[in-house]
Amino acid sequence: MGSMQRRIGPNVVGYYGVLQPFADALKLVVKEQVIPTQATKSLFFLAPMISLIFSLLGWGVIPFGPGLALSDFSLGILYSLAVSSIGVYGILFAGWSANSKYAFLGSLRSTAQMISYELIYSAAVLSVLLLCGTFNITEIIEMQQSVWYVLPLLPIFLLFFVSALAETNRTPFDLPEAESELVAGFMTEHSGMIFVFFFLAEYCSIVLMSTFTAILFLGGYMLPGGHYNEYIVNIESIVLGLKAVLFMFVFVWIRATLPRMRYDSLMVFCWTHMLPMVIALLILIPSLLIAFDIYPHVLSPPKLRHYS
Amino acid sequence: MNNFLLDFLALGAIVSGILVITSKNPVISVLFLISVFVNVAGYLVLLGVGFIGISYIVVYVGAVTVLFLFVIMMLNLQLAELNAVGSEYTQNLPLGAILGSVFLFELTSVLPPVLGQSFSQVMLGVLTTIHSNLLGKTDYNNVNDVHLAFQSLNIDTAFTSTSGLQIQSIGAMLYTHAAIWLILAGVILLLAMISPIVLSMNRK
Repeated sequence: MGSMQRRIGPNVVGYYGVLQPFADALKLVVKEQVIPTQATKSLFFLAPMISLIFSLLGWGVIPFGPGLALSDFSLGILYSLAVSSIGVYGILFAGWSANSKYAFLGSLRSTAQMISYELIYSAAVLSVLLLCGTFNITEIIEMQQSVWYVLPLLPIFLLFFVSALAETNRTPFDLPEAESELVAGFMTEHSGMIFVFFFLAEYCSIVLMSTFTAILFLGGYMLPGGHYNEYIVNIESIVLGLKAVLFMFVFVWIRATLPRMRYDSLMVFCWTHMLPMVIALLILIPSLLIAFDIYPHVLSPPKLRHYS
Repeated sequence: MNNFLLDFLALGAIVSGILVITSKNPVISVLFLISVFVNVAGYLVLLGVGFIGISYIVVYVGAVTVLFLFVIMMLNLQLAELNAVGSEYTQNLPLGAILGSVFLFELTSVLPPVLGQSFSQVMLGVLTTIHSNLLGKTDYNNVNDVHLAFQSLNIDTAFTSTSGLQIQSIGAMLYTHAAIWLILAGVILLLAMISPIVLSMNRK
């Protein structure tokens, strides 16, 4: 980030500033808690917890290798969509409970944005599901042995990534934060420890989104051309990590490159440009699958390839 | 343990359902509505009906209730006013009870718990005709097959007998026996979508 903006960046703590995040975290933890007197206290504390817990719960179905998921749930994709949609409540409650105009406006904006872009997001995920005919994440990864879905589904991938940016409230869609106009958006009144919760939730959801993108479009934990792991080190999870890091880099890259959008153009972009595109693709893809008779055989799900 | 959890979730759903209508603050009330949905979803997942349980969370908690909450927060209601209006409405309680019981009576007489009544027979006959003529499903020509989807026994056997996943058996049921109901539901939802557009259309 620093080098992209042609400045030095933090380089004091540790060698080349590698320890800077830890110093930041420590600083935030020891800060004083300030609670507004007019706030609804229960919701004020519940909101950051909802954000963090539900962005962490999404990791439950992510496989880090064949069979290396906390739960190899047959409806894994649906589960992660459900969990990510509950995360909206954290923002909504944070804005409402603080009883402050800035926070309230920020949360309303953020919620409207997240609900609108969730449509695009789920539709993009659905079109991936049409190609592989299963809700199970491990099976989706195993279906990508011949080709990563980023190639046949390139337009869907682009739409998915843009909506993922908007879902996690990153630049150029970071309207809810918008420092120049709304102070800090929905978390204006939160300080100290509970602010750390929001911060962690945001970055956790970025990492989760990157991993999810890697799983859906870049073949998850699989190396290209098939790979037979005979080492004690779990190479698959490292591969997955590298792919996820690639997307995280793109997140930061976009943040350093693009300016923030205006709010009305953001909503117009979602409803009048992206939604027709994604619906058209959602009709086109099954039509192509039927026309060329290449739809997945749903009633006999493919057997998982067994590694040694 | 599972039985205890089921009881616990059912109790939670009922208690939060009561709290939805008793709490004064509308935002808190919607909060308990979310709690109802989450409890019911947990109940369904625990019963083994995972797909419907998770759909509950995606549809109701993730979309519908967020919009409720959104509108209620935007309206900026004053609590004192609400309380004043609320006490006016309690005097209409007998009227509410009468209307409620009439509605309940209609519900039990019109909607078929046992499909013996004449009205429901006529409706089913119409549906069966459409079903056989338009969709060409002559093999499901009698009345019993059309509402197969409503009979819990058949659903249960459909879930257990097929080797596929639950979502597959739901799909198989939905697109064969219950196709006409699916189309009906689609038309109703389309109407529900068109009407707000018509209402909010700005005629010049």
